Amino acid sequence: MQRLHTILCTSFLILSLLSACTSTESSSDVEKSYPQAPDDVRRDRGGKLNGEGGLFQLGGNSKKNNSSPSLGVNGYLWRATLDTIAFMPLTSADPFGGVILTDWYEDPMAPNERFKLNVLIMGGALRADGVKVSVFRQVLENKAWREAPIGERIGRELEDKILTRARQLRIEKKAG
Amino acid sequence: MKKILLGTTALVSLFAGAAFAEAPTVTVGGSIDFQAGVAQQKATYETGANSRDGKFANDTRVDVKVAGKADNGLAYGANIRLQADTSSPNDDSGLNADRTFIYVESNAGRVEAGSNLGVAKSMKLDASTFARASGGIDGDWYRYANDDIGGNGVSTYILTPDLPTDAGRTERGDSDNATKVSYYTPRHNGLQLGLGFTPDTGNRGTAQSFTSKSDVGDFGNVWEGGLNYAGKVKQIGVGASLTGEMGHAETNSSLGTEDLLAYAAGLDLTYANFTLGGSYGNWGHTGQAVGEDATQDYWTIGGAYVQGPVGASLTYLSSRRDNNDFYNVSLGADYQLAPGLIPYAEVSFFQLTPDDSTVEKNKGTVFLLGTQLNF
Repeated sequence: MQRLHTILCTSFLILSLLSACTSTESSSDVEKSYPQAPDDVRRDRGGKLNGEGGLFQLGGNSKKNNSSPSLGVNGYLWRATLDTIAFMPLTSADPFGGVILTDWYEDPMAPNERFKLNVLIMGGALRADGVKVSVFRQVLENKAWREAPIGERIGRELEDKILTRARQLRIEKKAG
Repeated sequence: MKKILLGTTALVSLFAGAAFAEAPTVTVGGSIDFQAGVAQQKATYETGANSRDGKFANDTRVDVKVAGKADNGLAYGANIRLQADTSSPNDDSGLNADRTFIYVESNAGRVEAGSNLGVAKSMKLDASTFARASGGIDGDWYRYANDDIGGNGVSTYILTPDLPTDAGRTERGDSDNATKVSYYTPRHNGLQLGLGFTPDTGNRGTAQSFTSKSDVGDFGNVWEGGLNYAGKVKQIGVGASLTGEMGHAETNSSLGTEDLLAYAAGLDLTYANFTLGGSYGNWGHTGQAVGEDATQDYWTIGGAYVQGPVGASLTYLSSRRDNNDFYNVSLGADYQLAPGLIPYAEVSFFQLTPDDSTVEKNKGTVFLLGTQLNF
């Protein structure tokens, strides 16, 4: 019996350590919300005097933990889009119209090819159809940039990544 | 074509590692709960701390939460709940902190390690899950009533809808935050699993708390498991839970003590502003002398209604443990006067009937008025 307990404990600890490793992005039907103690649930449903920021907060980005600034569109989608395309130069970002336009970006790992994104965030709700990404691609031929085809799949994949990030932001904010 | 594929793959891969490091934050908050309670019970039991009918109580805690995120997307942090009372805390532990644990979280789930509630307590559903005010059948009524009926200081009733390690030994809930490790999966299509391990239910906190492996009433090598479902069928919210725990009974008695083996199942249904739910729990022969064959189980049923800032609930618990019967009916309501400010009122009707027919049962009413401030 003692040996069985030792084996179970060791297996459980190994499983715990493995679970701490990141893995590929989860599907959209997976929620990362975890149980709270019953008395915490009871207290949290009454809200808090200072909101989710508690009595005071140290470190981090306090702006992230305040209520969303006044935007014309969903704040999580807006922030998630900016996070996701942060490495690309922006031409325009309109938080009220929900439009983000990037400039042409050439990845150093894939020369003679460049991309541009138009991102449209629609409405104030965090919905699966609340973001639309249009991807434009050009290739360098005879020293001139020419339009090149790109699959529709790329735009949908980028939309999924923005939605996943938006859900993470919402869960983090709810978790306090 | 290859270049196109490489290019598009490169573009998507630039977004694939969308794990952004976030500087750790430390959030300090807490709550203060002031109560005025009046209890009426059998005169025989209005002794000692229960000799005064009307009493005030104040329960204060400070929560320190640490949260961060590593570059690889791993979330991590800690929760520390400090007791800030001008007396011993409510669990009578005399300790400075109620719960302290660290956690790590990734796409594969969440691991918690420390002195914290376990899987069985955090994943269960029953009528107390949606109870309002102080918590109904799992609320604060018992702090104003004498439940030491025929037990000589040892709890012989199942007073709350909990499994043995959460119900406590000599005090309510004094083993529910024994040092443990718990793992929870993400919720897949509404379903979530949990698994926990506690080496000794008598150990809590630092190495100073280490106890003998033969302490009567404690359990060793305790495994907890939980299954929880949250979803919707048409317009009805459905919640279901199945929890269990097993372990070795520590004993130095020649009589022997039965090992820990208990389970509970619960179901909650929500439609519009109404919630109905209930549960059944069975402790098996946990903690009994070998050969004893008395029932140890409980069931709950209740309902709640919430409209805007107002909530009300009616909950009922009935239990039997070694022929010691208990029931409690609790009616409560609360009102969110402002964010974090919740006045509430609750009345509980209880009865404890001991197995020993020569010992008088205790039957009474506890009325509570309180205000909670969360910050």
